[in-house]
Amino acid sequence: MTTQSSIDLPLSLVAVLPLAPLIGSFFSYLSSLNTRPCSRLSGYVASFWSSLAFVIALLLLVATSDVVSLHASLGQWIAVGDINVDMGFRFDRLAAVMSLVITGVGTLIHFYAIGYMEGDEDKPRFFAYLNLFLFAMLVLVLADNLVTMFVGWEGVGLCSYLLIGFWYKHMPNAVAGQKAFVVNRIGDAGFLLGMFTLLFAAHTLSFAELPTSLHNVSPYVLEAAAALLFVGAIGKSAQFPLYVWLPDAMAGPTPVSALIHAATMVTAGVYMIARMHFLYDLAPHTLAVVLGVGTFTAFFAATIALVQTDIKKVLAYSTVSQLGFMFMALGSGAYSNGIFHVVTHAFFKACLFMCAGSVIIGCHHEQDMRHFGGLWKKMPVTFACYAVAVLAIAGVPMSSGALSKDEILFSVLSAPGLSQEIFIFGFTMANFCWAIGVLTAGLTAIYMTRSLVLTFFGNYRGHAEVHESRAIVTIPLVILALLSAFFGLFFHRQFFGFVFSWTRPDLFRMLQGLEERELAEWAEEIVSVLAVTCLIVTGIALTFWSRSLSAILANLPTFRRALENKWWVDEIYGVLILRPLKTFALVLFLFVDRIIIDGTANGAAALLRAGALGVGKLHTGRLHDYLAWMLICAVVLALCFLALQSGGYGHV
Amino acid sequence: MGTFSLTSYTFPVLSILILLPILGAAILTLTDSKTARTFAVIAALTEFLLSLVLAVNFNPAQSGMQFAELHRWIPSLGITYIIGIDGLSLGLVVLTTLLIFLALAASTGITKRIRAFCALMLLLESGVIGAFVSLDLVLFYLFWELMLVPMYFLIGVWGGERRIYAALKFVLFTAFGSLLMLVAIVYLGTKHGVDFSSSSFFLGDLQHLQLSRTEELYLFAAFALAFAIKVPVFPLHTWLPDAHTEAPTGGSVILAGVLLKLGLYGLIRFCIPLFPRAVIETQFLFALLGVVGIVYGALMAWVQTDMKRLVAYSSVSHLGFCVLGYASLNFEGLQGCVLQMFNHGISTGALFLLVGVLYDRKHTREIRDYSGLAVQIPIFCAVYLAFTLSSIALPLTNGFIGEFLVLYGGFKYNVALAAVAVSGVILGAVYMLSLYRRICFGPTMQERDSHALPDLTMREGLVFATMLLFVAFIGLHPMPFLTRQESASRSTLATISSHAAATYSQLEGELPR
Repeated sequence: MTTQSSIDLPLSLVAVLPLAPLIGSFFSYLSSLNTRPCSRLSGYVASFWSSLAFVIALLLLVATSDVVSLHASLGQWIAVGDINVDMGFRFDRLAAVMSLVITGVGTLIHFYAIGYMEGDEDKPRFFAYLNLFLFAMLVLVLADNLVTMFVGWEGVGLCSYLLIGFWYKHMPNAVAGQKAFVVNRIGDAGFLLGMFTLLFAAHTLSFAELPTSLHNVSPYVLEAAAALLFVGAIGKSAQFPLYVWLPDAMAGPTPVSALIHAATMVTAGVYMIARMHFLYDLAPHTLAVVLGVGTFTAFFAATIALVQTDIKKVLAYSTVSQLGFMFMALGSGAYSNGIFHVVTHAFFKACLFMCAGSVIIGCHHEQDMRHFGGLWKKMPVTFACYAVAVLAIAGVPMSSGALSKDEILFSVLSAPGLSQEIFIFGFTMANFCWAIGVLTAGLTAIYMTRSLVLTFFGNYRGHAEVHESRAIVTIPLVILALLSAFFGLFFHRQFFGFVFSWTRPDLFRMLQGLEERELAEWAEEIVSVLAVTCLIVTGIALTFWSRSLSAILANLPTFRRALENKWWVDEIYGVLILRPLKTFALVLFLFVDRIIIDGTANGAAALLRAGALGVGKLHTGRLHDYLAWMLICAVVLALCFLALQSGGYGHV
Repeated sequence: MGTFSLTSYTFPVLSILILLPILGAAILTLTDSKTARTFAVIAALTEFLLSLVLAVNFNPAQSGMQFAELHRWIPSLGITYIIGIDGLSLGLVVLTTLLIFLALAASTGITKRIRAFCALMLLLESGVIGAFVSLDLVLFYLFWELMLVPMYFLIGVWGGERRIYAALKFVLFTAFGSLLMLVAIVYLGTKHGVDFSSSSFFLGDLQHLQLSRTEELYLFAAFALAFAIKVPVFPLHTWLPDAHTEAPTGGSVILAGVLLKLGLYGLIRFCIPLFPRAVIETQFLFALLGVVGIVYGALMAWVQTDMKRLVAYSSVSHLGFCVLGYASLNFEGLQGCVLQMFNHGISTGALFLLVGVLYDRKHTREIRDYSGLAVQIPIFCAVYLAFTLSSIALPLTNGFIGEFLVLYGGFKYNVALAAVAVSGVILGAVYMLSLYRRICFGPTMQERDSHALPDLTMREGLVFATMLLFVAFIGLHPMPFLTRQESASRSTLATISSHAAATYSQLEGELPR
């Protein structure tokens, strides 16, 4: 196994890869300050730099096909005591997969955005942020240590903040951006503490050195570090209880939702845990927590998605749910499965969002599905792509989504380690989570079919003049739809064979190739796949023909209200955390800061002033007053003197 | 115990740094008010360039004091004119000259008594630099008090509505603390006279005094009170919001950017070498107060309605980080503390200047009087965002490096305190981004008076560009700064660890075998 390469070209390319979109961002930003002709070109300029990054990533992939990883360092960054951090990059199989998805899907979305943002006078600023996002995301996945990763980690958060609030004249958009940043910061605080724990225990944060230096660290410390880093992942990847920012993030332009809040940024948490798999392998309890959080989030978000009426909100909760699936894979120790789902999800979810965007511009910025209907005739290309992506996300057999989801559910069922030893309601945790996962897969089929039916079938319920989108919008849709349908089929085994080399074979049984499996495992997987498939097909059929969902929910009014109000989670946070904290701050300010602390200071000053004024009153200017005081003082002094002479105060 | 090594230089550069502004202020009185500002800016620029020459010629590898100067002053009392610079004071001196230069350059909002304003700013510069380079305690005290006078007038004459109250409060608070410090200084010098038959106020001499535990604690308390008020450490911060809010923009920049640092500088420069035992004994107290300051300052900032007051309270929070770094008494924490002092000077100085830019245009500091500025003055908002990000310590800005080091230092000292301190990272984002959102985002205000809000002028743009240069440079490449601080931090900690080792071996001896 070679870890270093002497090839010069790829080495410098690794550093150039993230820099390309940064340069693009700079040019776009400059043109935002400039005149009109520049601003019309900005979309193409940004797309060029994004495409360039994709080409570089491809070149790197080809050039490094025979080496396991490639390191490039821009030099020492911070070196103080225990801390010794390089601005270093690493291109290995995992980074290759991620950077291809980021730049590939990213480039498609850049082109799509040229059409989507047509006519927006702030377009250059938009493309500047979008390119800046690619830079930060590439830094995140290419980093060779946790601190450099944190640069990208917070960088993508900043871009997300700027892009959610892109249309900042409308205050709720700006509020949503701020909410995203602050909730992410809660996760980042955990990430920071996790880094400190590792740094303190292992004296390094580099991915190359950490695996070996963790061996002497106490298991409790490892669990703590893994759990704290997972808090960061919960924030970035919108898991329960920190998922609340993602649905609000839909306030941003739709290309942003597709790129940042579906395909790439929100998967950063999944990527981070996969990257740190050597730590999580040593922290079985945390891994069980990851599995539990993932399962719960997948199910919980899917229930909310059932009744949403805003098409982007359906997709947002669906994203939260799908991310939950990815964490289920990670929690079962099947890191490669999680990454495989990241890839397929990037295709079908980006496709869904971009189709939704196409519908939204087609219907003149209408997002409510109750005002859609019958659009398949008017927007045939968009409809076809949306339908393919729905089938993929629902998990219809042989689609990309089906393959990745089946792998996840099977890996949960057969997960090694602690999840077989913990029991929930009499079942092993593995079995329990598997069952919930299968159920959630069924729910996914239902709510996605519902959105398809509401949008494209029936009669048109809106009033706007609907038209199909331009080619620059639809061509990326078609490409992504094709990938959603066939990527899994063609690249399934190559993918695992490819990623296989960065993980340890003994821990990743799933990757050993289908041939080597035991018969029992085959049986298990067949059962798993069959169960999922049956449920999915039933779900689709039910939703499609009988539209029974609303009928069922109509009989359960409380349940329906809970779903429509998203289980009141935002309200609960408001009542339990946000408002008490703000009130506390206000009381602290008005009472403690103003009255007690400032009051004490001012009070002491006032007392001194009063005392001085009192003493000042003695200065009457009359001679006999002064004489009287002189006499009194003389007597007092004399008495004191006598008292001291006679040996102490006690005798006076 | 670490001893001071003094390396002198043929050219008395530090004395010139102290005297040049005084000379400038003197010449200012001869100019007319039209050319006064230009002259003052040129004088301050010269001073800044001189300090840069100093920083470039500073030898990071060498420990001890560099560019030292030693002159007999009042030998009968043991008072000497002894000055020098090391990694701890170097950054602060450069920060001082930079901020005075920028504050003067951006002081176009000042129209009344411009000559006096410029002269006082230059006098202030002399006082601050003098305090940062003095190694004789009486000399230090002299400069420490000297800078109070110009600051008093800057707030009292050019300040806001409650300027007299704020100026008086500032002076009384500071003077209260420093008088006790004077008593302690005299005690130390006299004790040196008794123990070594000649009184001395040179820090290097006073380090060798053998103090009893009680003596040490009382003397430390006298010093630490003066410094803690200056920082300010919670709950002694109450003068700060008033002074910062009422001071003119330039005054606030210097107050927050430089004067607050004197408190931490004093703790590190004087308290650690003179009273190592007391410093160790009060370590937890200071760490705790630092963390309380972080959270308390952030919560206070969150509920302010006046943007200048908000930035003022954010200083309490940021200085809390520095206090935590000092109190962690480890290399990472101390390095972070010293760097973060510089960072805070840049980012908070810039934030005060930005508030000043708005105030010059609309004459109000109420947050609710602003909305949707991003449409009207996009360049201002872009610059403002950059400094907001630096203030909330986004990676690749200067703030991240300092906060990361401080928090790790705190983590090494006490995990629980660091965990609470990290919440400052979240709260910082809450109050800074809320402010940014309320001012820059949302619907554009309908201007009551027809003239639109002008964006940054060229002069203002240059001022902020200079500061952004530091934000980005330290964020990307902090090592030139960190290596220059390194030997100072190491030798400061050496006094602590040698003392701790001595105490430990003493304990060992007392233990029954």
